[in-house]
Parts: sequence; structure tokens; C-alpha cells
Amino acid sequence: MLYFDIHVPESLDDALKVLEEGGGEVVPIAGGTGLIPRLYLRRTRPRLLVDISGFKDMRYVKRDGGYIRIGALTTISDLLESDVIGGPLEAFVHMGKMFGSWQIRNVATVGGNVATSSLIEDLVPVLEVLGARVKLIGRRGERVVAMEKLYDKDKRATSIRPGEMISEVFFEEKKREYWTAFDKMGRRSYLVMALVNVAIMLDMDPKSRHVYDVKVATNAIGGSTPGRARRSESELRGRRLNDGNVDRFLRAFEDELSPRDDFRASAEYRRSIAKVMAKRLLEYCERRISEGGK
Amino acid sequence: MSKHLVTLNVNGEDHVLYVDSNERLIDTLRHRIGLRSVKEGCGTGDCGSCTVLLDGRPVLSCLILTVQARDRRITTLEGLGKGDELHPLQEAFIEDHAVQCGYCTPAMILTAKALLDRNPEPSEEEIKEALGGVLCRCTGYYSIIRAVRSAVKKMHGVRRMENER
Repeated sequence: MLYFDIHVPESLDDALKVLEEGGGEVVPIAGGTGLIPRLYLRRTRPRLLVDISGFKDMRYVKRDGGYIRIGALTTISDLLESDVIGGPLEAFVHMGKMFGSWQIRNVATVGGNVATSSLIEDLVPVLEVLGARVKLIGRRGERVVAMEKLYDKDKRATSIRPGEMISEVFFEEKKREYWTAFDKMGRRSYLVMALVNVAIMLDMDPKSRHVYDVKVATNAIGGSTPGRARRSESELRGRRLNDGNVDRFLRAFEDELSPRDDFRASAEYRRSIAKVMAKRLLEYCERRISEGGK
Repeated sequence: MSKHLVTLNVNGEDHVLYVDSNERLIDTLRHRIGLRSVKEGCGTGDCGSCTVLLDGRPVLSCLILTVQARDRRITTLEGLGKGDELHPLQEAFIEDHAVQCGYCTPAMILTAKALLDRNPEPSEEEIKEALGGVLCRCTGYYSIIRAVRSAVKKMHGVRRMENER
């Protein structure tokens, strides 16, 4: 038997008031696909849940003044069905199709996935390579935190303060030609926890093959592997995309990872598949840009 | 623990109930409303047996608190046929022997219905993709996929006849 109360707020103000007053003992619940299993397993014992799932105003994907804005209560299915998420933002499509099962995608939210921080969230590396920022709201106002500042070193905790919740995730829409891609490796192909997640964003001139920008992020690898592999990125950024530079990038990437060894996979396995995945994703982005996004 | 007064529309009928904060939708549907087609397998969102349709979308009733389903439209297998008349998917599951132990059957049929509502002529790949969240531990997947395909044919036959009239 689990003991907690649930509060159905009358308004957003009411929700934020209850969150603030409860300190760390009160947590918001949206889809609940992450939170409810953790409640069953007694991994978290909040006194009160605030049901924010009814705030329809926080469920949107839109273009707005050079930014793409995703409301915290947008479900993974909403992302897949959105007209905004397509073309160069294909990483969201790759991610969405590998995210849980259809049943879970219909309920799990973007805000929930970002806030959970259990190291294996599929959405997180995609947002990281897009340089996304997270808008946090509370009774004392709002603040914006970059994705990479949101998590502590081992991705087990976030810098979301008691009384705050995520209202939106947003990122700048690029003007030049670019592409994004994502891949996930698990022990089977569906409804599975990732052993390795990799996302890539490539911003390259299709003719000269000059790399204006490249971002690569991983998740689920564990150990002391950072979200973004910044050292590896610098091997390609500002250079031409040719075999030699790609090779240097991949070698740096392999070095930059320090995966964990556990019962799911060995560190060596994680490292070697992450490298193969990064190579394929980079080639994929390159191909899409060269074909003019067709 | 606080109680909440909620209204659930289940299979077209409104139910007004007092529920505890921690009551799961699966328990409300099975034990309070008596809909025994909703099966609990793992209880942690891995097996899909507890699938019901929430506003027409498949969801896991073991991972949803009843309070969160307030004012929503819920469909269980009991809501599919009309009296003695079965839904074409139900007929196809019988005819194609797509039922072994039967535990996953309600979830399979409901998920397939949600698929066909969106995509009336899915490819085999699309059927597999959609049903991927429901596990059949008898491993009767071939006949389940075959049944969904024959339901598609049945439903199209009906539609064509209606168009020809």
C-alpha cells in the first residue's frame, strides 16, 4: 500500500502555491510513467502529488520568433504527430519511435522525461545537441537553465529547486542547412532501456563540406561520461568533413567516453557500439544535408 | 489519504465514484466497475496486458492514477462489440486462432483497434510496431498479426459494400 495524497489544482497558481509550500515533499505528476513505477518500488516517497496533467495550455509544439518551443506536457506521441518536428529535426522522430511503447508514448511527457534524470532518458541527448534550454516556473518567478546545466555530474539529480517545475523546453531554429539524428541500442529493438543513446547535430555547407557546427551527446552510458562530448566536437568544428577529420573525431569520441560496467553490458561493449553509432549517425546527417534534405 | 469524487466515462456510460489518491485505473476498472477484461501482468509498464483506450489512445491502466483519468473517455474490451455482435477484430481473433491462454488478448485487440482507427490499412510492419508494447508469453504473434490482417479485410469488405450501395 502506498501512502500519498494527490492534489488536483484549480489553476496553475494553485499548483505552484502547493508545490512551494510543500518544499521537497510535494512533486508534480504529469504522465506518471516514470514516477509511478518509482513510487511502487519505494525509490521516492513524496507526501503529496500535484496533478498538473490537466493544464492543456502547456501542451504544444510551435515555431515562435526563431525558436521552437515545446510545452512541458507535450507527450512523445504529440511530438511524433507534430508538423513542426520533421525535416532536419528528424532526431525527434528517431527517438520517438524507439521511446517505450505506443502506450507509454501516449502518456509520457517531454517535461517528465527531462525532469526524471535517471540517466537513460531518450529525449535528453536530442535536446542537448539542439542546445535546448529549460524554462522553470515557480511562485517566485521563472528562470531559464541550459540543458547541460540542468543535471549534476552523474545525471542522477537536477538543479530544479523545490517549488519549481518545468513549463517549457525551447531551442533556436538554425538558419543554415543542418540535420539531426538519434540512435538507441538496447538488448532488443522495442520497449527497452537503452545501453547507449547517441544524438548528433551536423551543420555543414553541402558544397564545401565545411562544418560550421557539430554537437554530439550520449546518454545511458554511465560512468563519468559527459552528456555532450565537447572535446570530440572540437575535432570537427570549423574543419572540413573528410575521412581524416571524421577519424580523428571518432577516436576522440571513444576516448572521451568512460562507460560503466554493469550487468547490462560491459564498458568495452558500450564504448565500441557508441563509436559505431556515432559514425553511422554522422554519415546519415551528412547524406541528408548533401541530398538537400530529401 | 484524501478521497476524490471523479466521473469516468467507461464504454459510453458515466460512472461517478469516490476514489483514494493512490487508486490505480486498473483497480477501479476491474474491482469497482467489474470489467475483468483488463488484466494485470507486471504492474510496472512492461507487459502491456492492462491496456485500455483513453480518449481513443492505448494507455497502460496500471500506470495511471484514477484521479488523473477524471472526465476522460475510457474503452475496455467490453465496450467493443454491440450486444451479441462482435467487433470484426474479435471475430478475426476467434477465426484465426489468435488466442492461446487469452491473457494478452484484450490488450492486443484494443491496441489493434486504436491502430485501425488511425490507419485503416496498415502494413505488416505497422501492425508489429503498434502491437510491440503488448507481450504474448504464449508467443502466438503470427496468428495475432494474421488476425489483425484479416480484420482489415473484413472491415474493408464492409466499407466497400457500403460504398457500392
